Amino acid sequence: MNITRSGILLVEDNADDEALTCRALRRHRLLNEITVVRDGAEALDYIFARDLFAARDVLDQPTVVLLDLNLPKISGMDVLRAIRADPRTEFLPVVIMTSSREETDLLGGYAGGANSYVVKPVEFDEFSEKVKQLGLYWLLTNEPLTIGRDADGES
Amino acid sequence: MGDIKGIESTEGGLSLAPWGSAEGQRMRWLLQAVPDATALVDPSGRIVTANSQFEQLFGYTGLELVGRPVDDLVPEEFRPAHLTHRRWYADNPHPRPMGQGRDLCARRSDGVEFAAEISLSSLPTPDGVLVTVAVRDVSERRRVEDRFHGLVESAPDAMVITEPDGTIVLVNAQTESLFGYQRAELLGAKIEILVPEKFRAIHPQHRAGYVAVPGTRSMGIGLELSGRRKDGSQFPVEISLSTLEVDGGMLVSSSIRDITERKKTEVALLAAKSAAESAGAAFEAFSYSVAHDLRAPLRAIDGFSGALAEEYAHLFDATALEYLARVRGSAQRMAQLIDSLLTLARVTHREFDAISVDLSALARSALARLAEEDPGREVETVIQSGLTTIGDATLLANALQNLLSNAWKFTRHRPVGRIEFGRDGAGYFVRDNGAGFDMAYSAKLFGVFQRLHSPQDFDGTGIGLATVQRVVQRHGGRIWAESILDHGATFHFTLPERMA
Repeated sequence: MNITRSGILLVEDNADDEALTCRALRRHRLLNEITVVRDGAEALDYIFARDLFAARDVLDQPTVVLLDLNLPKISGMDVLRAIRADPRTEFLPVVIMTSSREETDLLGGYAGGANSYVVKPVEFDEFSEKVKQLGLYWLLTNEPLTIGRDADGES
Repeated sequence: MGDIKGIESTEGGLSLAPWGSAEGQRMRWLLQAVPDATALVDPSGRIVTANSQFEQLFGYTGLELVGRPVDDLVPEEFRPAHLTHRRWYADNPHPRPMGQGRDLCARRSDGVEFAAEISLSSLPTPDGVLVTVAVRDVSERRRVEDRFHGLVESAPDAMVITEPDGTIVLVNAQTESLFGYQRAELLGAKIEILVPEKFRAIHPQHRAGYVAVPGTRSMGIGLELSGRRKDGSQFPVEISLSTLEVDGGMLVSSSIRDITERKKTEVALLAAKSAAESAGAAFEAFSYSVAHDLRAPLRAIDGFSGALAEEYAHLFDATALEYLARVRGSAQRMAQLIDSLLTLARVTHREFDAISVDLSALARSALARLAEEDPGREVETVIQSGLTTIGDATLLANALQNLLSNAWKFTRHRPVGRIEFGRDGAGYFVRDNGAGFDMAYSAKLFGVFQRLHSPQDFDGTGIGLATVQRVVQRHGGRIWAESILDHGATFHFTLPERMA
């Protein structure tokens, strides 16, 4: 099972946060790489190429998912669980991006198999810097896995 | 009148002559050989003869006894009833104990009364049917019994004493009031009368099980037991069982306690606990929402102001850019306030988890962090080693952090700051050589949003010391401060050790 990976999937229901995130990415020439979905259900439809996104190939995956926790319809934790439960997406890099510094969220995120946990700063410069670092790291520094296990567990 | 008539009838109906005969002599010997005090009484109620045990017991000579109405040996108050009973026995002359179920009393010649047990049997003679009366002094036994009954009666719980087969032989007044039965209704009944209907069938098995392996223990450990009142209502009980050895047999003593009130308290406690828990859960949801939802708009305010200043700087003059900077400053300050308020709320609601805490280590790491964040400062720190207490580590760390960062902040204008953490006679203290405060305002020091310095001089949210006070109070301690303006401040606090 060969997987192609490109771009960022941003799962974010807050339009302001979306705009600020996109702005930070654009200023670092990473914007053409970004896809935005606005709730947990849409995120899963996109990732698993269902409904609106049925035309997509499920093996054509983002390089990284930036996942908010507080999302309409399906929570970020449940999106993470669904991603990890499917052999086609179990190694898809997921970065939780949230305002919450709650221990339970941190624990839940890591226990659910998040690759990273980032707290969104209120301060504009810090926020821009963090988004830039995330984009650069996951798009340029990190080496993506392009093979996946089949449902029967074989590579 | 009756007496005289009685004497006549006795003298007329029954001469003493046969007792002088050889047969009479044999009967006298026989009477003498009987272990109990025994007398023969004629149908009119006069004593025909008595053995020496009888004479001794009642304090009469043989001569004094013969012909004496047996009623003389009965305490005066019982005499009228005795007459009736005696007549009744004459018509139903079967051997039996006298006065079954009643405490009998007999009266000696000197008027002293004593507890007696009396057996009756009839003895047909050529001169008519005589009644054999055997009397036993049971004062000692009665005293022991009385003491036992007194113990049972004074027990705080309902006491029910049964035979091994479940027959109730003794109950106390508490049993009557608890179950709504009269004593007479219970005596002789099976213990199951007090057991709710649905357990009555199985109860004899449990009873037999206990009798097979007796001992002192609680009944139905881990089960919710109920008693049944006469009116059919049920109530929760706690029952302790024990055994009494009596006359080679065994009695089972059940001590029954009504735990209705305790159950009510337990239910109320549970309700209070779950209310507290749901209040706690509501608080968690609230603070989560505050943390999450209040920060997002602030990020937008700060973010878009920042973006304006950054991307469109050429469109603004210096004043406009300063305004934007003020907008951003306010947004960031509000973010700090939200964080501080959340901390204050958490400090109040957090579950208290008492462990051994090394305060010296907490102070050391807090100061190390402050030095790291503010490397330009020269601050001399003095931390007394080995200060440990029992308390909540997270709360105490928070309190020390607040106190030490205050000290750090207010020593900013000193060429060399000095911060000290230690313990003296009054308790723990954090001392600095900083700006200090005017003691006139010390009452405001620990209030929420109370500040004694303007933000231009020293920034701050006015929540830190309120948080410290909550932490100290949750440990059962108190906090106070002393200062001379411009000569530093000392914060004292006590932490009475409480165990988990």
